[in-house]
Amino acid sequence: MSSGKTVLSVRDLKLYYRTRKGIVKALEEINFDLEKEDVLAVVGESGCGKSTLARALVRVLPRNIHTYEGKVFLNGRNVMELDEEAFRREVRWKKISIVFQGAMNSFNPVYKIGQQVAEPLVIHDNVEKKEALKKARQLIELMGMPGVFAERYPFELSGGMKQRAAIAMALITNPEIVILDEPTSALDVLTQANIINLLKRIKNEFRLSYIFITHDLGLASELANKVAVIYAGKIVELSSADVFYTEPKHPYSRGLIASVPTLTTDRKPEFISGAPPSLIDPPSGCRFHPRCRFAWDKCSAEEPGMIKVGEDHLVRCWLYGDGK
Amino acid sequence: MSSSKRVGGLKGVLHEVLSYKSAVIGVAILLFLIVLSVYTMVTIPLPEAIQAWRSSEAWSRNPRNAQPEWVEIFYGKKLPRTIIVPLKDADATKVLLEDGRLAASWTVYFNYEYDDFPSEIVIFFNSSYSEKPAVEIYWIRPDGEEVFLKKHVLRRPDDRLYLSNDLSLELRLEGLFENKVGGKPSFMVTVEKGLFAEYSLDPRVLKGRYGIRFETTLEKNDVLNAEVVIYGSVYGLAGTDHLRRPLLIGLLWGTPIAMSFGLTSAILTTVLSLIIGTISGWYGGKIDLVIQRIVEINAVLPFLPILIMLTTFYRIDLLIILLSVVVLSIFSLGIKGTRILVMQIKSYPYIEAAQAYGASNMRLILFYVIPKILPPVVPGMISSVPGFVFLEAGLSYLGLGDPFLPTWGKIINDAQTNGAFYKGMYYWVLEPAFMLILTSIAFALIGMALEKIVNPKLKEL
Amino acid sequence: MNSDTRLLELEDLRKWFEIRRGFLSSRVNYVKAVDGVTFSLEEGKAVSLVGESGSGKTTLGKTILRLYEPNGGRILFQGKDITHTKVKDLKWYRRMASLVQQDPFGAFASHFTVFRALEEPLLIHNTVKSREERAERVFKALEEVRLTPVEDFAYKYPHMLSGGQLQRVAIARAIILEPRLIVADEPVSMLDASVRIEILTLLRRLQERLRLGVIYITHDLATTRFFSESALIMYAGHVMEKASTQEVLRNPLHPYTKALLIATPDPNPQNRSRFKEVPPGEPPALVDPPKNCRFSPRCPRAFDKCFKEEPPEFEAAPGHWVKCWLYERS
Repeated sequence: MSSGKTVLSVRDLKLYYRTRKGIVKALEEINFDLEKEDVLAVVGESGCGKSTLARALVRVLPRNIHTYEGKVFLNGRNVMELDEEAFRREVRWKKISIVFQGAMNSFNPVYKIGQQVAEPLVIHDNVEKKEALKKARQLIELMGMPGVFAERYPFELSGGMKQRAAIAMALITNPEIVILDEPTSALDVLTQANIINLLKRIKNEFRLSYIFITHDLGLASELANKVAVIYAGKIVELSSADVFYTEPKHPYSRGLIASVPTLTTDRKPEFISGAPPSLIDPPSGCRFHPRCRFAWDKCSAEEPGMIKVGEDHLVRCWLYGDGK
Repeated sequence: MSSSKRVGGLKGVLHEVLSYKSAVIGVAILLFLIVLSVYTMVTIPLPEAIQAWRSSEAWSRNPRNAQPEWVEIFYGKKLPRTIIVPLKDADATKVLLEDGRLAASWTVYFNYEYDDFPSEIVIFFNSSYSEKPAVEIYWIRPDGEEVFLKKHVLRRPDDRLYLSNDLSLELRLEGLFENKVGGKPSFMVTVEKGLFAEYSLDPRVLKGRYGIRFETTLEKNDVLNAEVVIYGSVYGLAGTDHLRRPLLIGLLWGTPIAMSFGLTSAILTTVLSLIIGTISGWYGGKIDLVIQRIVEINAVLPFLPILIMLTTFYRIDLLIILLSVVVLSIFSLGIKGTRILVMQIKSYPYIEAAQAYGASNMRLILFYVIPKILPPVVPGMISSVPGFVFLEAGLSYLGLGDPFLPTWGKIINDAQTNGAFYKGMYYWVLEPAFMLILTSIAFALIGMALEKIVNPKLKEL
Repeated sequence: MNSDTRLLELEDLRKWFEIRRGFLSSRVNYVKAVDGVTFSLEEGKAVSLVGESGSGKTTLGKTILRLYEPNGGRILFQGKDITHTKVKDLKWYRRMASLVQQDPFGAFASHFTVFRALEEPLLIHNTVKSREERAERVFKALEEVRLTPVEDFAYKYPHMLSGGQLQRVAIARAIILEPRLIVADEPVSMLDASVRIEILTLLRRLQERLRLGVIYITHDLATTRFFSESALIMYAGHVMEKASTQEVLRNPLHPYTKALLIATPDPNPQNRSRFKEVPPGEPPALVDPPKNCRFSPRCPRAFDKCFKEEPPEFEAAPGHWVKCWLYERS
């Protein structure tokens, strides 16, 4: 149900970082659009670069950064051009906020929850502490917890409650886009379902757009209307969720879907053999070719670009381009 | 659990250590000290060294409180070494007298080219006689002057004549000087100056060929042997102390003693502490409580005063000191750190996994825990060696160390007791101090490099 | 089903943990992590133990392995009562029952190579005397888990392998002593989604071929489908439902099981337009719990009796047990 207005437009985002062993090509040729009230699921295995992408979008960069370039248009304006201070003031947590993986472990144990949830408001909008705390309480209640929890310390809350608090903290400055990096990874199935319900509710209520990062395809389908599959630092498939789950095109996407054990269908899950490649020295040509059942000469020789296979459906695979 | 791994055992560690320049210096110094120690232990076995250190006869031909030879670079003049003139080399003339006795006369010559005066002159006799002979000694200067020194009746076959302490000789020489110069000279006329100085108002050494003549009457079977020792003011690489002992021996022997004391204390203390900490952390419960309380009490005990007490009341020998130091050090606060580490490791999944496949407590401690806690402990162990070395030196300096062993601390102690600094004998203190500092630097540099390896965060420092 | 083929039997098993309040207080409170579990496992069969965190499933797994001593009930292994056997007399059991843990990276001492880690159990039990024989066993185990060529893997350190590869080594370590029972505690939760199936498939194939009993502990109901013959659903220290895996998935009876099934996400794009109907709240703390149905505070079907009395297990259908008052009449 997107309203057609493009909130975020990423073009050729590239991120490399330096390590003792060489330069890690963590992200390359990242291109996608996010419209208002879109939920883009970014899926991939661990180490594929999806978390790096989350950090790249809010410019939380590692110390050993080597290359960070591309264009990121936020409501039409290229925020990559902003300097650090301007970015911090105008974008980070103001327009785009993020709920980190393991956010429930990133609360400071010596401060109360309410104070921490209120902190972004105090820092960004220069709101008075008392006002901010009030707003924090309201949000906490909106998250489905009693307002008094604002007075509690992190250790007094369960994992699910802390995660809700982390989400409240991400929402308090009224951002347009919320990046959710594996927001339910350490939570129980029931709690997870409750949090997903919550995320659905507030998305509708506040008209938010999400970038939802996960390795769990089932979970992704709970929220996403668009899916981007990342493999070895590159997007290999980008399409609407409806199309993706019914007709995935890229061999990797198909492998991913096939490996999800399901309750409802009788299909026996299969797995993709091999392991994700090193990003310091990725395979030549298509980065997936060593594990691909359909690979042929061209795949190891030349890297495919994003090929259009349908309305809003792009695949990075020679099976769909010229050559076959 | 960190999985930063330095694989490759000892070789890998060595390679990594050597990548730090400071550590290379440290290792170089350490190797030098080890070579020195080995050399010393081989060429001067310890029992001999102790024996020699205690005796005075062995050093009788050395000057007392001599400076090291190389100080002459700073003075800019050639400083005198000890000259020994044996009577055996003399031109002897013997005349047979009517009563069967021999009138003998020996003259020995030597060259004196130094820019400064000798420190002492002693004549060592070594004779056999039936009746104590009377010996007349004459001094022949390069300018031809002959000075009658003394008529000395030998008191015993191995008699010694300390010319330097002879007050009458000194006064005579002073008088002679004043006559020759025609006034009171600007310096005090000691025996050495009186015999070796040019006749002038300022002290100048008369260089050239000197001679000494001995005249005496001997019975038929008497033998007169003597050695004139003209003591220099410098000796050897390191000089001598108040007992004429070459400081070099003390410095050399101090090296293996310091190294072995330091290393043994450090290793024993560290290993025992580790074991105690591990037991405390692993078994918990009552034994943990007891050990922790002992540690806390030990932390408030005054270490040095107790050590001093022990060494004052009991027989002092290096081994006792070592054991006392170790016993007082093993319950250090470092145990608390080890204990925490062990408790952490105990909670890791692989310990549980090992329990599941049947590993016993002892096996877990030896093969799973200790290999993990040993590496962080090694840099601390190396860095603690200087502390122990200084401890031993400090105790010796206070006079509480082993009185028979030649150690650096003992040398400083001797220096202090004999007022080295007051008398300008800086080398006596500075040389052992230098060795102490050198040893400390070596271990400290290596320890720091090891610490940087073990704790990568410190690399940024 | 005579007891001759029963590998493992649990009778009303309880494991409580003491928490002492204060130094001088005499009052002792208990965290009742496992509070009355009964089931049996036959030779060569797999059972899934499903539950969320805090359900007691991990504690149950460790108690079965006698890493804990039970506070109540009995454990019988191949007919032998090992409930209160002293640890020093349990060495034989350590060979017969092994553990695969959740965290592959934590499961290995970082200073042991793969070879050494696999050799450890052999060295401890000293059943294989010569070095060559031990090496043979190690290589064979690596082949079983498809880590080939074995020479490539045997001399690596844990940090050089991926999660999936390490978990294979963990499985190799679990089978090297030729046990009869394996307790796999969430063996794939920390692995990538695409690797999970690989590992579970491997484990299943090994189990079938070597006729091992496997207790598969998990929170992900979906993975039980092709893995185990039977399933137990645990909640707050109790077994709420017990049946064949197929039955549990196709015909769940307990409200909790039903909630679990609804909550587990399937890759279906229509999910985003629906809210999941799941009970709110969190699992209860297990400190001195009240003596009623533990799920009652959250249960959409709870009635008076549920809040007052703890239900026993009712056999609602042949071989299908439910701990719920709703099924009382049977």
